[in-house]
Amino acid sequence: MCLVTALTVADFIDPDLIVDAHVNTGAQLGVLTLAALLRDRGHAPVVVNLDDLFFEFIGRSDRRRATPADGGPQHLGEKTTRSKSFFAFVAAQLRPGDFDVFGLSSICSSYPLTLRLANAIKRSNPLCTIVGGGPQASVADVATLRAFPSVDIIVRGEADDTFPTLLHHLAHPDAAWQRLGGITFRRGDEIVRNPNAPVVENLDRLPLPAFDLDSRLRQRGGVHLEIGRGCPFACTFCSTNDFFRRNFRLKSPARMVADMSAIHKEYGLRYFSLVHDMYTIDRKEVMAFCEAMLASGEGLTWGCSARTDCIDDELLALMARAGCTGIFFGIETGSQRLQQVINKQLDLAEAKERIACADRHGINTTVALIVGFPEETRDDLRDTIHFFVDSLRYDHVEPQCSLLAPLAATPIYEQHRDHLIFDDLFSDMSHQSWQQDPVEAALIKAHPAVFPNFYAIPMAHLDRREVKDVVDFVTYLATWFRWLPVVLLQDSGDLLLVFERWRRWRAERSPVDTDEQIGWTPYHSHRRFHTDLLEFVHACYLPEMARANAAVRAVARAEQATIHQPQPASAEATDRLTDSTVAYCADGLCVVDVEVDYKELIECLRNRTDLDAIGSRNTTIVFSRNEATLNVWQLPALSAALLRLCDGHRTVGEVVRECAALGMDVDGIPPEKVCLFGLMQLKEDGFIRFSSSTLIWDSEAAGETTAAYAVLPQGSNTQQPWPVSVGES
Amino acid sequence: MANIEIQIPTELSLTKKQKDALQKAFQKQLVETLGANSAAIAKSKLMVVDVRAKSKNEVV
Repeated sequence: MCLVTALTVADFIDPDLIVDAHVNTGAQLGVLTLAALLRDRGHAPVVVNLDDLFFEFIGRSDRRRATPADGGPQHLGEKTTRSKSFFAFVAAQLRPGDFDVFGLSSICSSYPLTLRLANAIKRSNPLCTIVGGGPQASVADVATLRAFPSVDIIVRGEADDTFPTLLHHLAHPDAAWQRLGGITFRRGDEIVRNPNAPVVENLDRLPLPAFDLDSRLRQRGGVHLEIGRGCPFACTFCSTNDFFRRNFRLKSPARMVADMSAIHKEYGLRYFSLVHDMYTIDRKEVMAFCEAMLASGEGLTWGCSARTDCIDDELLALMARAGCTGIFFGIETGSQRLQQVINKQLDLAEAKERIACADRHGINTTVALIVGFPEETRDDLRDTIHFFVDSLRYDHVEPQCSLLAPLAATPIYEQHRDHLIFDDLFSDMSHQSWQQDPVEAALIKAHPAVFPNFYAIPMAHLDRREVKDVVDFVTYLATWFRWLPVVLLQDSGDLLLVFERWRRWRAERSPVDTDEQIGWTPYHSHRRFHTDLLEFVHACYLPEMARANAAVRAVARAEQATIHQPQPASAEATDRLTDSTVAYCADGLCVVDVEVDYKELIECLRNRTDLDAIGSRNTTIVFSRNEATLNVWQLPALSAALLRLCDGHRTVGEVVRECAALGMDVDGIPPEKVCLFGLMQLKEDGFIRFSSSTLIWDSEAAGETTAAYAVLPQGSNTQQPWPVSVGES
Repeated sequence: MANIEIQIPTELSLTKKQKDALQKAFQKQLVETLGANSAAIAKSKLMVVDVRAKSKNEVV
C-alpha cells in the first residue's frame, strides 16, 4: 500500500530558495497520521512525499543557475517544461506495479497534478485500486469520479477510521466496503455517495503521526502538530469548516504537551506549529494548555491560529509566557461592511487592538487578508489595503493579501458556481507556479467542477485584473520596503489613489519592459519594481501629491540606500592607529543623509501621529548589519562628519587635519583629540575599520549590486508564522 | 625620503569631564532594529519564489 502526499511547494526557481520554502511546508499530517494508524493494524505503508520529490527534482536540474547579469534566473521561460518534467519524474518514481492500493492525498492547488498521477498509475497498473482523499477530493468527489475513471474510490473528510477499514474490506473478495460511510465510489456507470462517516470525537485516541517517515523533519525549523479539528464559524469563502463538519474538538492539554515533549526528545525540534483552524474558542482549554506548558519547564515554543474576537489581552499575555511566538489572525477584509457580507463578522477596531497586543508581547503575527469578493467596491478594497499597510507599523506583524479563490463546496462557490470565469489571474491560493502547466491548464478548463479554485467569481464593481495588480503592488511594496508603504499611506490618506497614479505614471513611460526582458520574473518581484517605484516617488509623488514632502523624501532616500551593496575592496586590516593608517566604512554599512529627524519620523509612523510635526533638520542615519538583524542608527553631527571622511583613501593624519580645519570643537578640547576620540568611538561601534594602506577597489566587481534581483513576499505559507531562526535543540 | 610613521597615542589624556563631553557628542541613537523577518533583510537575499499563503488545506 502506497500513500502519496499532496504537493504543497508552490513554486520553484532556485534550489536554495526551495530549501527555505521547504522548511515550513510539507506538514502532511493527514497522511502521516494515516500511516501510523495503518501500522497499528499491521500494514507497512510506503509514503511518497511529493514535496521531497520536488526538492530532489530541482536539485538535479542543471538549468537552475541564476544569471544575475540579466536580473533573473536563466531560462525561466522553461518553467512549464520543468513542471511537465516533474510530473514525468514523479511518475517514474512511483513504481505502480509494486502496490495494490494507492492512497492519494489532495489539496486544491496541486489537484491537477494528483489526478495526472492517478491516470499514470492506472495506465501502468490497471488492476490497482486508487483511493483519493484529503480536502480537495472530499469536496469534489462526484465530479472527480465522473471525470477521472482512474480514481476508484474517494474517502471524504476525516479518513482516520474509514481508510483503514476500507483497506481491510478491499482485501476480501466481497462488496462489503461499498456500505462504508464517508466514501464515494463508482458502481458501473453510477457514482454512489454514501452518507458521511462520523468524525473522530476523541482526538486523543489518534496516534502521533508517523514522523519517522518525514525524511526532512530534522531539517525543519519546527514541526506541525495537529491539536484539534473543526471550526464552528461559517465564513462564506472557507472550505475547512465543511471538511471537519464544523465540529469543534481539541486534544487534551496533557496530550498536547506530551506529544510536544516526545517530539522534542526524539527529533530535537523546539518549535511547534499547532494546527487547528481556530484554536482559541475554548478559553479554559487554552489556559490549561498554557499552564501545562509553563509547568513542563521545557521552554518549547509554538504558534497557532485564532480569531481576534476569540482572544483577549490577558489570554495573549499568558500564551506569550507559555511559549507562543506566532499567531495567525485571519482578518480577511479590512472593510467593516464586507465583514458582514462574507459572514466573518469581526469588529475591526477590536481586531486592531488584538494585533497591537500580540505585537507588544513580541508574538510574530500574520494578518491574512483577501480581496476579490464579488460584492467588493473600491471603498472596500481601499479599506483592506489600508488595513494591510497599517499592520506594517508593528515590528512583529506580517500582513499577507490573497486574491479570492472559489474553493469547492464553500458557500461562496455554491452561490456563484454557474457564473465562474476562467482568466489567467490565478489566486496564490490556487496556483502551482507563476504559469500553469499547459497539460494541467487543459484539465482545469475541461473540468471546472473538479478544479473551481482556478476559476474566478466575477466582480460587480471592480476589474479583477486591476485588483490583482493592487494585491501585487501592496504585497511587494511591503516586501521591498520597510516604511515607504506606511509613509505613502499616512501622507496620502488614500493608497489606492497613489496606486492609480503609479499605474498611469508607469503607463506613460516607454517602453515598459516585457516579461522576457526581466527574465520572466513577475514584475513586482523583480528589482525593477523597486527602482521604478522609487523613481515614481521622486519624480511624480513628491512633486504632485506629497504633503509632508521632507518625511516622504527621507524614507524614500533611506530605503533606496539600503538596497545598494557596498563595493568590495581590498584592505590590509590593522588595529594599529598611526598617522598613515587609513580609516574606511565597515562592510555592509550604509550611510544616508536626510532632512528630518529620522528617529522622530519613525516614531511618528509607528504611532500614526502628525507627519507635519516632525522636526526639520539635517540628520545622518546608518544601517549596520549585525548577523541576522539590521540596526538603524541616528548619528550626531560630529560622528556623521567624521564618518564621511573615512573613505578608504584618506589617512588618519589627513582626517585629523581636516577635522581641525573644520573647527571640530567640543568644550574647548583640541580638535585633534576630538577627532581621534571620534574615530575610536566609530571603530568601537563597528562603523569603521582600519587598514595599513589605501583601499583598492575591485574594478570588475564595482558598481551596483547584482545580488538582489528579486524578493520573496514576507508571507507565511502556513497558518502560523514560522520562527525566524531555524532553531534546533 | 622615507615616510615617518607617527604613532598616535591611544590614551588621549582626557579629564573625566572631557571624556563625558566627548561621549555625549558622539553618542548615537538607535532608531530601530530590523529583524531577520523584515523586508530589509529579505531583499538582500536571492529570493524569487512565491510561497505565499496557500490554502489552509495544505496542513490537513
